[in-house]
Amino acid sequence: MSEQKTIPDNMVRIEIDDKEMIVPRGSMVIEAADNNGISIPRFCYHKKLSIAANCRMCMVDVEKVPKPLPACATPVMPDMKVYTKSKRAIDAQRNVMEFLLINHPLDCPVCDQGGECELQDISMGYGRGVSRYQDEKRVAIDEDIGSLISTEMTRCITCTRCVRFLEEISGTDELGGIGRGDRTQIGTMVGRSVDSVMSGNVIDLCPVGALTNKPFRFKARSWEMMSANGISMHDAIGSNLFYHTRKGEILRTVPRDNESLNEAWISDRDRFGVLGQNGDDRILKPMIKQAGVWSEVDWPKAMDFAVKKLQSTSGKDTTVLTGSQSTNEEYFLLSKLFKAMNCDNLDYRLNQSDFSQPHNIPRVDLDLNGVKDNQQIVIIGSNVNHEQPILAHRIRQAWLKNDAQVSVFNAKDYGFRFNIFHNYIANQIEWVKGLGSLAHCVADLTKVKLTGEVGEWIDNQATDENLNHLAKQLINKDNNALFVIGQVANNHPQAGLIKAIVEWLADNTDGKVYEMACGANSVGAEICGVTSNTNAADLINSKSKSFVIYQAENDDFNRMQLAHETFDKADSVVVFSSFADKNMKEVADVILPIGLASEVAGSFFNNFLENQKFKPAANLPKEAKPGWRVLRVLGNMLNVDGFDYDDISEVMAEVDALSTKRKASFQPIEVTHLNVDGLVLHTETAIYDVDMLSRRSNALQETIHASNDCLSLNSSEAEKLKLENAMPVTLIQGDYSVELFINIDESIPTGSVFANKCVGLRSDVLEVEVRGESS
Amino acid sequence: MYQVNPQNNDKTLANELLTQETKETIESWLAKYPSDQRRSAVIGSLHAAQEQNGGWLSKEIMQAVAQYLEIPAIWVYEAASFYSMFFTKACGKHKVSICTNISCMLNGAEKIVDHAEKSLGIKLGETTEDGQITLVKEEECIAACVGAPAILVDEHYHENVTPEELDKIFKKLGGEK
Ligand code: SF4
Ligand code: FES
Ligand code: FES
Repeated sequence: MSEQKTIPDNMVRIEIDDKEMIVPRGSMVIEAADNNGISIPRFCYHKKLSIAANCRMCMVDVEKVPKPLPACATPVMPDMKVYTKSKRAIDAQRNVMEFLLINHPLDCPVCDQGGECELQDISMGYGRGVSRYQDEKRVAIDEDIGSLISTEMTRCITCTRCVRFLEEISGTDELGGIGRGDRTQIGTMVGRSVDSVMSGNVIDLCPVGALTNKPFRFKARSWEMMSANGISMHDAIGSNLFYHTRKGEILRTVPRDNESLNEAWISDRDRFGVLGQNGDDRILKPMIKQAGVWSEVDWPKAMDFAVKKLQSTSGKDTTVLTGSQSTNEEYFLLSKLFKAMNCDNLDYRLNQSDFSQPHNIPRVDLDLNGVKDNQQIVIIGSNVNHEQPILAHRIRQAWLKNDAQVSVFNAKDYGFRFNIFHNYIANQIEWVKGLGSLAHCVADLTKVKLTGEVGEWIDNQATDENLNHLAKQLINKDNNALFVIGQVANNHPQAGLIKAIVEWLADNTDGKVYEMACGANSVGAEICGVTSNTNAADLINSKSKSFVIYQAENDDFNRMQLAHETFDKADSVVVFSSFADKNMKEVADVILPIGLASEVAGSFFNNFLENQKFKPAANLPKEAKPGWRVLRVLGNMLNVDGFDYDDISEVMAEVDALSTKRKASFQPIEVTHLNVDGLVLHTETAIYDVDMLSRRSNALQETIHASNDCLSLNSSEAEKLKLENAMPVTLIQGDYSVELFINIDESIPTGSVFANKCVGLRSDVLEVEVRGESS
Repeated sequence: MYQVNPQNNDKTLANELLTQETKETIESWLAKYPSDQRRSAVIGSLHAAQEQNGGWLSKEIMQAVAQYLEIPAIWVYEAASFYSMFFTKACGKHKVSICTNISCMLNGAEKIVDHAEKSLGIKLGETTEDGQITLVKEEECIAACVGAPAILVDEHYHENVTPEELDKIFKKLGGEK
């Protein structure tokens, strides 16, 4: 008795297989068993999904209950005694197993899931050696649900995990149970594809071989592969991954559970992006260009050549530009090397155009688990679902579970998978004004005014009823407010203004800010010092004699054409890269092949300033070398001090010692005023165009989210211009023009046109002209 | 409670395909349930849509119903494919469902099926050439076991059915052309 008194109210004491445990009241028997190392077979239960209790595999024997009960749907009761291995339990499990196998094909030898199949494993434990079933088996017809997931629906045991994932986690409701009884088949609404940007998770969830990884199909057996830890190379959540490799080649990617980041999920970009590693413009050997002709050379020769090029200009005349996919150690050495050579022209913010806010680490005032505690979430200039799918998932959960109200200021209605409280969708100029109006409302309500030009600008924005309503919610002290800033804001010509307003809004509403970092490791580039007093936009507009381009390519720049021209005119261009496309080969003088983050040891800083370290998962292809080693040797050849590292751990230690403090808050700035006659352009980087790897992943490029050559506008604008779907038009931006096809899309606000950035557009010139084919 | 994910407010198909009468029927069903449980109206709505569409549910009309109810299209398709009174493929004007569940089977349902197949020249699940009669594939217990063998003709019950009676029914259905 005295023992029982110590059990808190919210806990109960139970016994499973005679093992005593204290578990939370209201939890299910299966959770208690899982947390105490007792295994119960299951198919439909998953800790992150609702309970369906439809497979019946988890039958257990409960004392004083006349029938076996499903452990996944039986709540624990005080002093309950559960037996998972009693005769009654085992009989029930064996019988269920026999029924499940009735319609399941015996095609394990040709099934991709073989060797890692829950059905196979459990039938080893509970199945009969020989089937007693003699009649016809059910056969299902497969649908093509896209380039990422293979279907073999005859193998489906209708556990509905995939259905529940798409309904509950992804929020896209794309699969359902069609038909009835043993004829039920999992399918789409007749011939649709599954388009969630997290769709790949159903591959892991499916306990059998019904849904499998399409690009990985028939590539390897699970027992032939090794597993290596990895970190996402595509967004700054820093999702934890396992790479599965065979003979040093990454064949697929699966999530590694991390409750504080990606939980049990990863985005499709993290799952399939790495397949870009085999892109056909991968550089496998060092290359130099002499008299316009490329030749493959050995490393010493290439390094000599590079050193000569670098020595031919002073550090002051050299510009160093890098993307956001390299490791901290590479950024650190890159910065150390060139700063030692008096170079003060470094930047990684290639896609940005307004630099009025100085270099800084993105402001993030909370961790991912804290997102759910905010009742008011405001998304500002972001397609969060594409930029950081895991953050979008967390915001969705806040809406779903905690009734958070989410408002949006955007130039396009992205169709987020949560309800929108205030949906401010207007062209690139107007939505910023809307944000100004919101700030104006908050200023009026709190009687606190912002001084300076930004304050004045805010004062000039009209207030309105709706925004005032939102402002009232934001200043309410019972509501925690969270402001999320994304890449549309970051690459906006008024980025500095937007950030200043958000900073002020957050401070005046006691709110928090989540500023999404661009790419996987731009935070690392910032911390490791790939920064200088000149910004990327000025740098590619400069007369630098020599350029060093480190793991970046044309498509990474805001002004692609200008970057290309500038490099073309420069005396020398030294490129460190895993890939080199035609554009790069045109301008480069030497290309040093370096490894991707998945092939080297290193670390990434995520948006929450966690420094996540990793070891090489894959072998470097052919003669490619880890970037940090190349930089180290280069440091020695250029006689720079402090480059005598023997091991990467020494570089890591120096990175660990760097400060991760934000330098200052956003600054008061001069306001750039935007004025455009006619249509306003909105252009952004598509979800699978964010970096070299994702651009080269064929599986991703075949999805509907891949970039295209469309010019989207809504039907009322199209009518005004007498344009129809699929009509060819010319889009003119400054002195650049491109042929595009009209796509009528009601998610584009009036007065706006939308196109993917990769067609050659820049995000800071909003004025464009659309010319139809003159007949 | 059911949380419905946000639906895009594209109502094109709902506006184009559903007649005023169908919409009114759907509204009358919606009125019977709490406003946040619009999914509950799906069966009533499908009946109306099927009637409007000449006895079967096309993919488009199911989508139209989904748009009207503001629920995921897959939910509509799930319900339509689940119940044997909904037809997701084009079928005949009249539907004859012969119960083949246990009581009816014991009382000679198989003979009835045989007779029906022979006299119409089609198999269960098929439609006569003139598009008049569909023999519904596999009907489970229609809760008329007392009168087994029982059949459903366009939702009307016929009990203790004999081959002769079946002939009469077919004649009537055929004669209605
Ligand atoms: S496809 Fe796989 S996950 Fe989906 S219901 Fe079937 S067995 Fe379960
Ligand atoms: S796991 Fe319990 S019923 Fe499926
Ligand atoms: S078995 Fe035919 S009506 Fe019940």
